[in-house]
Amino acid sequence: MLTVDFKKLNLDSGYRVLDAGCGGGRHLSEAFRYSNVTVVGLDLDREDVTKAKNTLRIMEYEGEGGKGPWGVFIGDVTSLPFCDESFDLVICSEVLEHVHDHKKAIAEIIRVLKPGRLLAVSVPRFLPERICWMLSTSYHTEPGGHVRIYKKWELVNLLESAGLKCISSGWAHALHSPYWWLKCLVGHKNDNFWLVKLYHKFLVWDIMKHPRITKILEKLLNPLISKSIVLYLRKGEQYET
Amino acid sequence: MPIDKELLDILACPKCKGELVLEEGDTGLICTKCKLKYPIEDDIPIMLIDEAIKIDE
Repeated sequence: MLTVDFKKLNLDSGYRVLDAGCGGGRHLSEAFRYSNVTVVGLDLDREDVTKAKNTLRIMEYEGEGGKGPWGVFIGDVTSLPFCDESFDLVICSEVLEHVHDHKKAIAEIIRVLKPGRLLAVSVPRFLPERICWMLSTSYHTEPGGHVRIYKKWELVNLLESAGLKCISSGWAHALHSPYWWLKCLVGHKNDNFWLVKLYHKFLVWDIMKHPRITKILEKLLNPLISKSIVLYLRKGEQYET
Repeated sequence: MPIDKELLDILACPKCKGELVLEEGDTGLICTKCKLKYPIEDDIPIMLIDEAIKIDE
């Protein structure tokens, strides 16, 4: 399941891509499909990084990768272990809302991005996320949970004041918002509630089969209740580290 | 699985952003300036300042 639209990333042969906060590697593995692209994943969670590593290994074995070098690291987005201007593209999907010092994380991401190149950022959208917070306290108070809710303009201002220019934006996963509302309503860890189980089955079916009907439905609902907003930003040529 | 040469070239100490040296046997990445070793476990470098191992001269 991809949150970032790869059609907007201008991913080219020879590019080096960082997925900062790669989780289990959903965007990392997609970038890995591109021919002659170097992919790097970093996350704080060991289990997730191991999962990402295993996924890329299997893809490599099955010949599904683009044959570029790859590596995964356990690390913190607020202290990235990379040299300045190392990457042609950075993806940071559903990460900043978890990070207390998000300004430091943004500064680090910009530091490792080459001038003139793209950063794709996604965070939960304001209204659907606010509803989750209203329905469940534990949803946002558990350790490692979301520490803030962004308004789109706030995030754009934050990123632009740090040296980026927002060139495009998008929505993603409208069908996931009601699922999370439902989970928050019945207890967001209560995965055994029958309606939650049923909705989860529906989402898995949608991800696996990509039926036309849900694509249309999501396109119609995205402007209203998308779970995430996605920003595409370019680093200025004049940015000074 | 050893770390790819291209990745070694872009890796930096998360603390000082200085150069890292791959330890013999690929067991860790060493920052000589900070005197820290970032261990590699199951082919995954752990690039966390708090979990780095202090090394002697």
